[in-house]
Amino acid sequence: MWSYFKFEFKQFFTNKKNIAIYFLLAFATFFYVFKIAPAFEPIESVDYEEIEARYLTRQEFLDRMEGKDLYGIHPLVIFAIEIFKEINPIDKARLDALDAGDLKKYADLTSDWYYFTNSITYKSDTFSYNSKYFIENNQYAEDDAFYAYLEQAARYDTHSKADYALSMEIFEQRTALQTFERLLKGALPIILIVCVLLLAIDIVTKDRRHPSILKGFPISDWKRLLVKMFVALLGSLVLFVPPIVGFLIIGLQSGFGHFNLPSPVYAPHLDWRTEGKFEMMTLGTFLGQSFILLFAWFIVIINVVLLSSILLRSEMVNFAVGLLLIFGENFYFSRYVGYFWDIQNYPTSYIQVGQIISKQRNFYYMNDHLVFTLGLQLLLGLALVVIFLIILIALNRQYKLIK
Amino acid sequence: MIEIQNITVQFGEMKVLNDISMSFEQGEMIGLVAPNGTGKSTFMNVLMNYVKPMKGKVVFKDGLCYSNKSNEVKIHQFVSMMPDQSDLYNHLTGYEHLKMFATMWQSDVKLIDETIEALNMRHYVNKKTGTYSLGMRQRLCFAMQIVTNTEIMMMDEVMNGLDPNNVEIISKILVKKKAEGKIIIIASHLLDNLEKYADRIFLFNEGKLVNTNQIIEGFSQAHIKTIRVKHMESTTKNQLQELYPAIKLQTLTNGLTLIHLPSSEASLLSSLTSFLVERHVVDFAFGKVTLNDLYSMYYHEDRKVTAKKA
Repeated sequence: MWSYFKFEFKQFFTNKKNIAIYFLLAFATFFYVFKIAPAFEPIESVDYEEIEARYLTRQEFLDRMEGKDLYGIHPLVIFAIEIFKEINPIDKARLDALDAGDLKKYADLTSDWYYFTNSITYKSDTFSYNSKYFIENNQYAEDDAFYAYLEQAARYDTHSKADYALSMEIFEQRTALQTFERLLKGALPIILIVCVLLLAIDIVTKDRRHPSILKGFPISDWKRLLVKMFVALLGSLVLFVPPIVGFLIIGLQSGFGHFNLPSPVYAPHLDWRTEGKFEMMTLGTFLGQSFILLFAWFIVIINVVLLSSILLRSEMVNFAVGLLLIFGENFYFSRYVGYFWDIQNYPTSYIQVGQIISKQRNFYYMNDHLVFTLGLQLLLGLALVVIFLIILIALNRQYKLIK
Repeated sequence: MIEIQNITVQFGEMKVLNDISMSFEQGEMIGLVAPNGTGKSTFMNVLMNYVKPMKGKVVFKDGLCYSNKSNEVKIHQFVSMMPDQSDLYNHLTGYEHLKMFATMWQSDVKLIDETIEALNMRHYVNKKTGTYSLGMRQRLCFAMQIVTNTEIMMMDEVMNGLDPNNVEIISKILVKKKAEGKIIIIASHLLDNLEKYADRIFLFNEGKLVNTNQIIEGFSQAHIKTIRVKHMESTTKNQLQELYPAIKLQTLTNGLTLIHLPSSEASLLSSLTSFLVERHVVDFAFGKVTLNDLYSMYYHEDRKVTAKKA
C-alpha cells in the first residue's frame, strides 16, 4: 500500500492540471496581496476627518440653536438638537482619544457610538446608515448595516477591554489573521473547495489512459481508492501554501494580529436594544472551526468525486456533481427563507464556511439552527455514507476499477 | 503451476474460448499462436482475471483462484502481464517506470540495473518515455515485467517493433527466466523465434487451444518428416503421387509444397531426392514442418489440417 501511495502521490503532484491549479491559486493570492488587500477600504473605517466633519457640522448647528426660542419650531429640529447633544460629546471624546493616541478609550467610545447610532437609525425615517451599504440595488441594505453596526459595536467593546496592544490595523481588520477572517467569510472557502474539486476530478479516471500498467498491480480496488482519497486530501492541504505565503506578506505589511482578537458571533437570541446581537469568540476559535469545516468539505468533495468516478467514469460528470454540491445552496437560498424551511438539515447550506462560524448565515436565513456542530455532523455523516458506498462497490466481485 | 479448468468466454454469439482445460508447469515456456482477434489476448486476460469467464476457473498454486478480490491481489503478487507500450506515462522516464514496477512488486531493486544492462537501455532509460521509439518502448515494457520478478509472466506480442538483435537479447533473457523456474506465456507472431524457445506451442481454433503436437505428430521432435519444396509444378506433383501413393502432398498459400514422409528411411529420402533432381527441382530442403508452415496450413488452408481431439 505504501508503494502505491508513493506512486499516486508522485502522479498527483506531477499532474500538469494540478500544477496549473496551484500556480493559478498562487497567482491569485499574490494579486490579492499586492493589489486588492492594500486597497481595502472598510465601510466602517477609523476616519478622523469624517468624524471631525460630522462633529463640527453638528456643533455649529447646536451653537447656532443655543439660546434660541424653540417655540413653534419644527419638531425635527428639536429632535436633531436632542440627538446631536447626545452624540456630539461621544464624537468629541473619540476625536480627543485619537489625538491622545488612547486607542482603548477610542474603542470604548466607538462601541457606544455604534450602539447609539444603530438605535436611532434602524427603521428610522430620519437617519440613514452609511451610504456604502446601499449599493447594487441591495434591498436588504438596512438589515446588513444593522448587522454591521452591532457587530462593530461588539468588536470595539471587546477591544476596549483588551489586554493586547491595539492599532488602526486591528480596528480596520487589516492584520493578516483578520484578513483571513474576512476572506473566510467571503469567497475563499468556495474558491478552495472548487480547487479541491478540480484537483480530485481525474484522480480515478486518469487511470483509464494506462490500463495495462495499472490493472495488474497487486493491490485491491478499495485500497487504491483509499490511497487516492488520502493523496487528494494531502493535495488539498497544499492549497493552503499560497494563502499562507500571502498571509506572511500581509503580516509583514500590516501586522499579523493574534488569535485572541475578537471575532463576533451573531446571537439571534439576544435583544438588540439592550444586549446587542453578538457574542464573542476569539479569532483563534473562529479560524480553527472554519478550517475544520473547510476540511470536512474537502473530505466530502473528494469522496463524492471518487464515488461519481467509480459509478459514472466521466470527468465531466464528476465536475457537474461537484459543482452541484458546491453551488447547490443557490437553488434555495433566499433571505430569511430559513424561517420557513429546515435549511439547516441540508449539507449544502454550510458552504459559506466563515459565515456559518460567525452565524452571519443565520442572520441571512433567519434560522437559529444553522450551527458549526450540526454542519460538521452532516458533512462527516455524508462523507461516511459516501465512503461506505465506495467500499461496498469496490468490494463487489463483479466491479473493476480499471476496465 | 496454472491449471485452467473448462474456461469458456463468449462475446455475444461468438465463443472466443470454448471449454479450455489444460495446465502449465513451472519452468515452462508456452507459445500462443493465432491470427489477430482469435482469443490470445482474451486467454491471457482470463489468466489475469481482467476478463471473467462465463464458465470454468483458473487455479494457481496452493489452490488459489479468482474467487474473491483478496485472492486476486494474492495471485497478482506472483502473476504479471507485460504492459502495453501505448500505456506508458510519457512524462515519466523509463527508470521511473521500472522503479514503479519493482516497488509495486517489492522485488530486488538490483534487478532494475541488471535488466537495464541486459537490454542495453542505459543510454535512454533516464529520458522521458514520450521521446522513445516503438522499439525502445517495447523493450521498456519487457523490462518492466522482468523487474516484477513474478513466478508467472505473460507477454502479448513482446517482440513487436524489435530489431533481430533485440529479439535475440529478449529471447535469451526469457530462457534465463525459464531456467529460474518461471512459467512464461508468450503470444507472438515471430514464429521462428517462438518455435526456437517455447516448450509447448498452442494454436487457437474455434475457441480451443490446440497443441502443435496434436496437429502434426512429433512436431516438436527433430526428425526428418517433411521435404519442403518451393514452386513445384503440378505435373511433378501428379507424378510424385502416382509413384509414391503413401506420401501426402500439401501446397501452402505461399507456394511452398510440403511432402509429408511416412518414414525417415534413407532409401526413401534418396529415391525422392533423385526424383526431384531428375525433374530439375533443386530448391528443396529436408527437415520437419516449421511453425510457419503449420500456421499457413492451419489458418490459410481452409482448415484442411484438423487437430486430433485432445
